[in-house]
Amino acid sequence: MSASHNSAIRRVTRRSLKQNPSHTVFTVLAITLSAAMISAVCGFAASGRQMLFDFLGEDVLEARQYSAMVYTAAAVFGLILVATSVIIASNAFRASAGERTKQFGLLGSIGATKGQITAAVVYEGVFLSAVGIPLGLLLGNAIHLLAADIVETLFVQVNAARMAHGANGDSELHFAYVFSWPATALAVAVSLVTVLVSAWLPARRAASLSPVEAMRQSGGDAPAAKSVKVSPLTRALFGCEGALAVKYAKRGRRSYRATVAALSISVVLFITGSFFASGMERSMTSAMPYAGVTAGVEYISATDHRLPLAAVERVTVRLAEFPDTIVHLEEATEDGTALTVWLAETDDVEGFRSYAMSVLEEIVGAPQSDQYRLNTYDTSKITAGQRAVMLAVRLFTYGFVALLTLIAVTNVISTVVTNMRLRNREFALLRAIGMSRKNFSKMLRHESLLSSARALLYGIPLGSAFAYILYTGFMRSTEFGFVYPWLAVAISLAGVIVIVFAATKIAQSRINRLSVIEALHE
Amino acid sequence: MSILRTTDLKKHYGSPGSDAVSVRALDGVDLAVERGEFVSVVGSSGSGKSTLLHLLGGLDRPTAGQVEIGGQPIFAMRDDELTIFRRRHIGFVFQSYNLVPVLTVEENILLPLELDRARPDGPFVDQVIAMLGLSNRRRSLPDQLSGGQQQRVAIARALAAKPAIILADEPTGNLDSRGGMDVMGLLKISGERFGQTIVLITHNPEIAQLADRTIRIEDGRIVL
Repeated sequence: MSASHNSAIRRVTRRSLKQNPSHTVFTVLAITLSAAMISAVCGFAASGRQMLFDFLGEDVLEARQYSAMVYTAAAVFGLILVATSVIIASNAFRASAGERTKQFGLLGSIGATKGQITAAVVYEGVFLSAVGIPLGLLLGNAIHLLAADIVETLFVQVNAARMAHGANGDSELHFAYVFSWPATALAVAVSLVTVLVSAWLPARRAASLSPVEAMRQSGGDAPAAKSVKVSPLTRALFGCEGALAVKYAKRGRRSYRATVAALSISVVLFITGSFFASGMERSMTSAMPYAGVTAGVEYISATDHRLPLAAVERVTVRLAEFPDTIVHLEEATEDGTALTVWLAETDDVEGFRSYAMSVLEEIVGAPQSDQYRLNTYDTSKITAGQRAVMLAVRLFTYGFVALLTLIAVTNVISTVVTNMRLRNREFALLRAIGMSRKNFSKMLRHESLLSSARALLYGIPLGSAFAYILYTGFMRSTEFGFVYPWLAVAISLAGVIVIVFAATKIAQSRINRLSVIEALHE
Repeated sequence: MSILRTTDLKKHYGSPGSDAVSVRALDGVDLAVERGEFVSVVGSSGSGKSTLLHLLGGLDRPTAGQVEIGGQPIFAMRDDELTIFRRRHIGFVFQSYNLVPVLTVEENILLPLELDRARPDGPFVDQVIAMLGLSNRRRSLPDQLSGGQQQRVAIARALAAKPAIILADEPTGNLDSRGGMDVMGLLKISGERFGQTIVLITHNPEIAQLADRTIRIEDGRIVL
């Protein structure tokens, strides 16, 4: 269908967008936010990949293995964030779905074909995306740039610590902002598909109805005419308000489903994010097992001058003879390794270092040219550096979790508030026929309970599954067992209930202010 | 020859699989309307008269039976063919006007033609607009107009494509008696002037009497 043939349809679409500016702005903002999230995630993955390739250089095989890790994390969080952005964008379109279904019915009754209505939807989606997606890409790249800057600041400390540990300068870690065309294209494609699908859903519904049925839409949910059995227990415990809540949840499927989806995805986001953060924390603590270590001793050799195990043991015993000192043999294997490290907890660092040197020279002999080297060092600088890095990484991961939580909470609140707005008329009707505020609160409380329970039922297993995927792809190399994120599950359990009840309460106070008659005439 | 003919037309609501009780909105209607005839349909609410009108115009699909317009069975067509057939041959006027709120009077009137990518017959459209007293309202939006004016816009929209048949579902239902009579007069005049067939639903016996013939529907059947 060529564009010039749909000028009438395009005019109706454009005018509708213009005549309802607050809704249009809201929709564009939702698209911007979705596109920003997707583009930031894609950009971050691109930067992570670049970091690994620069760091590991020629060793492509190893680089591949590590990029698999980055991609696992990016895929897990990307998937969850894409689902979140789909919910945000479709909320915006859902708010006007009833109105649009009605409009499509009207257009159908005066002779618009399904092709013409689809063209209207595509036109609207592309029109709104043309504004929202570029804005989203800008915002997403700004977030990416800012985040890359923060990570790079952390890496300055990491690199300093690595240098102190004896790493050479050309293998520094750098996390830089990378503009990647494939990442950008992916972000645009995912956002556009999200928008078009969200816009198309009401059109599909209108197409499945005859024009007469579509025009009859009241603007809210089309209830499913199915039988709902309310258990006698619910009725006894929660009264008729409870029974009503069950019926709304079962028959008014779409708003209920939207709430459950938003809540579930938030639970998944929180559990996965927390698991990621605690995993990082554990892998860092394991990298620094002896908090009191003040001095280190190293034997570094070429392959044919490995230290025999017997010699390693003799050195260990001798080193431990230094007064008030605990010695840990850090690295050694049975056939002797290229690098053997002893760490010591002592107060007299300088005394220990000279003592250690004399012990080594006595047992393995003085270092000769490039066969092997002996080193002793003061680790206080290293531990200070490591502590700074740990603090920085901790800040970063918990900041990440806080950001995810914020996204999740915003998403839930926007969904609950949208639902309540869509039901203004319905609520006014209930009040007009004699439902008191108290009855009304009771009904809404019961509805909140239903959607929270359902969301946790989906969210917790899914979140646990994602945590496990993250574990297998990203943390297995750290030789940890899988620790179930009980705390995160408990927090999300309490959080879901608190947030749903609070959001419902806020929306309810707004509804209480509306006059019954105004709402009925809406 | 009849321009409009129905054979054993049935419409039942509620699918047999569900436990919702099946409602027989129309239960076997046979009707024939001659070219240029003005027929009014009366009946109590819930009798099935709106359902009949929607089926006559192909806005809804029947459970059984057929509607023939100009000898052509319309439910043999695919959805889009039916939509296109409808916009060329049938004009609808609804009780609730159903104007597109974001389009001006003139744009609303021309919309069916534009959807059909047809070139509007300018002098004819002007004539219709003048006849309906909308000449100085062309650039107004629907919500700037009174109910009677909005209904006249809806009639103009129904007439613009010069349809052979006009189907009107209680076009005077939201108007006061004077406004109602004005709208009826205009419908009748345009029907006569442009040789159109009109089927009109009404509650009002006074308005029903203006028609050449009155059909009464009760419980989904025609009663005489």
